[in-house]
Amino acid sequence: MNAAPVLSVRDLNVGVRSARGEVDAVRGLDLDVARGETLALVGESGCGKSLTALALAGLLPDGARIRSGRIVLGGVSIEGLPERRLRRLRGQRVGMVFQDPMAALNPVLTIGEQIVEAIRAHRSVSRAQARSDAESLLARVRLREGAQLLQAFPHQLSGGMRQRILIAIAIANRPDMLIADEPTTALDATVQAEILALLDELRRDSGMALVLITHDLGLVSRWADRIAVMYAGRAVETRSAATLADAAHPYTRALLAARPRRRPLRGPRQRLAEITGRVPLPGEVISGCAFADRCAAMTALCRRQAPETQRLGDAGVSCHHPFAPRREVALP
Amino acid sequence: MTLALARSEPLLQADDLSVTFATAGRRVEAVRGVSLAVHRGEVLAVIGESGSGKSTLARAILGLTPPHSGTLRLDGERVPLAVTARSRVQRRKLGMVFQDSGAAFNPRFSVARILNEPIRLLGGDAGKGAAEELLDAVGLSGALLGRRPHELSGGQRQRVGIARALAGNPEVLICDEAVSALDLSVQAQILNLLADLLLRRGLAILFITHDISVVSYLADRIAVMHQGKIVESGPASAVLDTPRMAYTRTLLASAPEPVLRG
Amino acid sequence: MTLISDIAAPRTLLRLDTLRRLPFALRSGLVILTAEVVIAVLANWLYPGDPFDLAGAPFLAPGDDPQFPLGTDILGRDIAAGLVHGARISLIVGFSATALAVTVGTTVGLLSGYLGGWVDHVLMRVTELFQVIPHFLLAIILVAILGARIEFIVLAIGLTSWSMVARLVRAETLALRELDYVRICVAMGGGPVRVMLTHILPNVLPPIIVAASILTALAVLTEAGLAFFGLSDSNHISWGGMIGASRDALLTAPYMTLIPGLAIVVTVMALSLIGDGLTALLRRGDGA
Repeated sequence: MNAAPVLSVRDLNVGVRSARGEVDAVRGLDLDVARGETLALVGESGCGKSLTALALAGLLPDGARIRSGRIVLGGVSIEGLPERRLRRLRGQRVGMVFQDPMAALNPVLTIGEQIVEAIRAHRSVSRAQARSDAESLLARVRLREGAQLLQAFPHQLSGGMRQRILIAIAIANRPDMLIADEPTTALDATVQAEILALLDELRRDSGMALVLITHDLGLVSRWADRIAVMYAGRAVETRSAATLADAAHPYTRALLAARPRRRPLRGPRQRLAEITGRVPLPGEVISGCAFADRCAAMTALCRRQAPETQRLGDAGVSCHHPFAPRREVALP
Repeated sequence: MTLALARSEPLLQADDLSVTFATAGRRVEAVRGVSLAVHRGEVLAVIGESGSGKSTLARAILGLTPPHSGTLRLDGERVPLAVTARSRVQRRKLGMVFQDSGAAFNPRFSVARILNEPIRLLGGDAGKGAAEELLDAVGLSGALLGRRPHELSGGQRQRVGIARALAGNPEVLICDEAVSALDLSVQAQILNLLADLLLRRGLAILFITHDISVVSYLADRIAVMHQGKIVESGPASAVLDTPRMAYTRTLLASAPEPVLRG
Repeated sequence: MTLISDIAAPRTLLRLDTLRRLPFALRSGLVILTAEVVIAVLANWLYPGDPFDLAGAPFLAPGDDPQFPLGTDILGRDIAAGLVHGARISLIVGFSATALAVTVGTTVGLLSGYLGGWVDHVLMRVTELFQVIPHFLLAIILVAILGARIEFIVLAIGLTSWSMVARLVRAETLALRELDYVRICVAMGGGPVRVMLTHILPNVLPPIIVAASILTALAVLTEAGLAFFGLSDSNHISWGGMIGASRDALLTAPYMTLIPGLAIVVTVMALSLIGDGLTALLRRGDGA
């Protein structure tokens, strides 16, 4: 399980063109994804999680580009690869699922045409072969009556079905890694759970890695093995999802505390813990720790110097004053 | 004290409200015979999935969906169903907060204009720092008056949305997915603000959402909507702990994580 | 992608300091059109006197006589003078007809889209009527009946081109009236006139401006077409009229038709460039 990682990212910087020139929206990001694991990339809007996903999938929009950094995909460094080889590598190794399945599907093509196109884009198989592959793909994403469904157009399907189709397209070429960017945000709660269960099942069956991008901390403990919390373009805490409650970074802890909790049976609602201040804007000059202004544990050091990532048990934390719950001191 | 309040007349009462749309020759009953009541100082949460009719219900109460039947009372007084037939005094009683989205504000309006428009429409005096007072009520500085919506953060925008809803000094606040698009840290701020306003101003809040964890924090009572009807309703603890309907159980079970205990 | 839209350039249309950041198409279109407007305004100063006057020998090709850099036509009229004075008519008719079409079309589209119901029904049937009648034919008939005077030519072209604006504005209005801020204004008691003027009209202006640049190009073409058939105001020289008057010499002296033809092409191209550029600019402003 912990062999060579499917994906290894070192010091990734993604620049975005803005009115103030190019600014870094992802800054010095380190990330490792092992085979068969689910990594949740969590953060609030503007933290750079979606740009990270797009950068990994090679789908950055106009005006955004990878400025520097090292991305190793399945043991192959993508640095300096010619565009065509790069595209082939990504097409074969990385699948991508988006938030809005309607926007990701072409409304004037049938489901069948779109899946066949995805299969034939990276594999030279006959149309008939691709078509039968498409049917078995639909079965894998638990859609019944595949033959009939292949004739359908996107608008004839429900949101949940459309998301399953997108997942089928994403896994058509048996990728090593599937990136799902807010795959259930646009869906109803009951459908959400089904889609997440499907992704989890596909991951277990195929051994591919799953990178789940979400703003929803609630999803994480149930569906992810590991979690990377992003803040202002950087992963500030990486840890196993099982120990999320023991999070060490003040930002992670603040997020956990801000979750609405059930009101007491009697008496007034208790105030939720707010995070004061705001996220630094992309391009804003950050001296020291990006979270310092909003942090309760801030000291002069935090203003002066950006924290290095330190290891705490299985976790990596970028903070000068990480929270340590009950530190078990190992006596000699 | 609380007992006396609970027995008083509801601030918002809807009886047998129905909304039917005619689209492409087909008639769709989006809301079917819904009755509900919200009292002063109380939050009634309406939960349901998309297409359950919960947003249409909100618009029907606001009088924005003309073809409907049923009766609506505000503070005991029966009001016409269509907003165009309501008097200014009647319109003042309802405030509304919608989801934070690009559509929440006219992109060309400044914060001052966003707030002054409802103040004027509802018969207030738009000069004399009224807009600034509204901003103050939601914890924002008057320095924001000159800003445009896109120059505000998500939390500031939603506060401006709430300030706009308070322009007529309403008794009832209709919130349709008012915290759904917000980041967790901002959502906490807005929920705290709503809880404050509820107590300070003695509002009644009809809170429409799909988010169970938000409901568990904010709601006094819960109504579950499914296919245009309220299928279950009751005190929040009863609906959350001992749901009677199978549909409610499915809805609760599909929440991404178990509801956090306070 | 909230991130990118948050930091995208603010939506400013035409301010001098942003001129350099405008799309290339828009910049080049504006430069050409501005030059034409300047020439049209200065026409009486550049070429005083009546451009219909016989100025020299007929059939002088460009370069034959330094006094007539673009030559003379069949009757010996100075082509350069005609070109400069003709720019006035092309631009006046183009802009006025478009202003008329935009005013009528926007009013009809707003009322139709916002009020809906029977108002929408009636207005849209009328709009369709104007859409299905061949526009050029209708313009010819109108000018033939009303008379070939500038104001009637403007009226004829305006009346044949407002339907496109009406449909565009109606479609935008239908989308805008469903937005939350419009709903909230209505729920607070905002009447139709207020909603249409403060919330809808300002937000449909960008696509209207794009449409207007295309309509102006079409109006310039239509005016030239009418003039070619002799349906132009006989008191004012027009590019289409110059082509029409020289068509007998098409083979012997092609420059007589080519030069005003080229002027029409350049004008239409400039307006199309402006339309394309504005479209690009608005898309960029949306931050998509």
